[in-house]
Amino acid sequence: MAHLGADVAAFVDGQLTPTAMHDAQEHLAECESCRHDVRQQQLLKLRMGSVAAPVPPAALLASLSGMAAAPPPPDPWWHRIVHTAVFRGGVVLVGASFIAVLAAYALGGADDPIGDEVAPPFDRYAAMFAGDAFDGTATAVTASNTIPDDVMNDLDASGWPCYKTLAGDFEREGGHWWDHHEVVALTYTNGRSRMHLFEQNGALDHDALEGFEKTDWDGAQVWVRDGEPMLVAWDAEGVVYTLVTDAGDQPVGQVITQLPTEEPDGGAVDRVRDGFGRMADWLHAA
Amino acid sequence: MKDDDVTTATLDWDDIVSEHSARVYRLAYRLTGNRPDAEDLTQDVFIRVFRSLDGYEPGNFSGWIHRITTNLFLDRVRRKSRLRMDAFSEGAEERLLSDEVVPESAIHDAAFDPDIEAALASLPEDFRVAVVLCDIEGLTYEEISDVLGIKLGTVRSRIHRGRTQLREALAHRAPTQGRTRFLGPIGI
Repeated sequence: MAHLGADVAAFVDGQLTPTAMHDAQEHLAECESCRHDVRQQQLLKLRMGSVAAPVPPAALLASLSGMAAAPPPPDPWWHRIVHTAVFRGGVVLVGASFIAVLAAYALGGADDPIGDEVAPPFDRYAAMFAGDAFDGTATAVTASNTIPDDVMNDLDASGWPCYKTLAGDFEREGGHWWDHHEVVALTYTNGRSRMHLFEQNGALDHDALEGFEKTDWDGAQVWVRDGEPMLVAWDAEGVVYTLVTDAGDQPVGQVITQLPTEEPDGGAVDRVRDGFGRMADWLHAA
Repeated sequence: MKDDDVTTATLDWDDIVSEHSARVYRLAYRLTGNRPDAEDLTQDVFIRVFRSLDGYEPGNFSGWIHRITTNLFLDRVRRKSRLRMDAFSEGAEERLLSDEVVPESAIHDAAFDPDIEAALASLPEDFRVAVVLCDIEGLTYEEISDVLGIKLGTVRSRIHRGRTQLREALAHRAPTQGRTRFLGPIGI
């Protein structure tokens, strides 16, 4: 028979039919090359089977056990649809957002999110800003979590804005992965003031916005927490943005204009209503 | 896999967690290649299990959990590939050994095989899933075909190609001065 080829794995795993197994054994008796391949895969399989497995941490087990007492909230029905659609490009994205807006409107609530709800750790962001360093408790700034310029360019091209300049004169100082590479953290300065911009997947968890005020900022819906520093959070197109800064309102407004945002709920609904109005006028006229 | 089939009548959440959490976490760790992602994935799997218990039809509970774990993993990889372009391509070992290691887990890490970790991380996800289910979880090709919803021939070819790539990756990581290799030879 011919060499075992792609059947080597099935032979090693004992998954060939009895006839094929018999033929393979006859072939192996006289083919050194196939014996070599089989031995290699057997060794690899043995080695794979012997690697130690980590034990789940106690905190995780406690959290899993606790689920029965505090059940996770149910999955929104469009969760999976949007979940996979959000990252598949413009056309699908627009369609999915439209469905989500319609759904939110139809259900009478504007609080239903697109994608996973996330609650950015605002207080830590503010503390990090005050200390002017990414705190070492979660992730120290090391070579391993610095985002190189070329990767930032790639991110920028695929929907994660990593602009070199914000608000005219705030230059990008650097970018870092944060929180197990789930968050892109960018730092900017114009020499007098600073901005930290955090970007992560998901939709803003509105329950986590205590102390924030819902604000319509130049036609964009954002949540603002005044103070030193000021925090501005919003989500758009499946990304949650958090801006932490000691700059004034004007540069913040420019950043909001520069980055993707979504219109206040009323805007979209009004636009749809206006559209229906125009359509009705047109039908009357026809 | 046959002896741990359960029926809905006997489903008790604490039992489910104690019987399956270690296995799910191990599989999640082998698939994701790092602890934080493995914990997140395990959490997601149990949330999904919790929500779906009502609709669970008595049968192969382990197979069901394997399916949920691998599906959620592949779903995540596809969703996040745009953000985490560096996820498995480089520095998997550095990630494991750098800022994400907490003292408690560092003890366990000493027993691992960093060459295997890194080689597994370098495999395309579809191949990694098939090889891990076969060599670490000990599933038959038929069970893998069922878990992943792919044909037997595809299982066979993914495992063969996965192992071939693993071996190549390990060959590139053959010991050099100053490095120690764990757990035996990589070739003959």
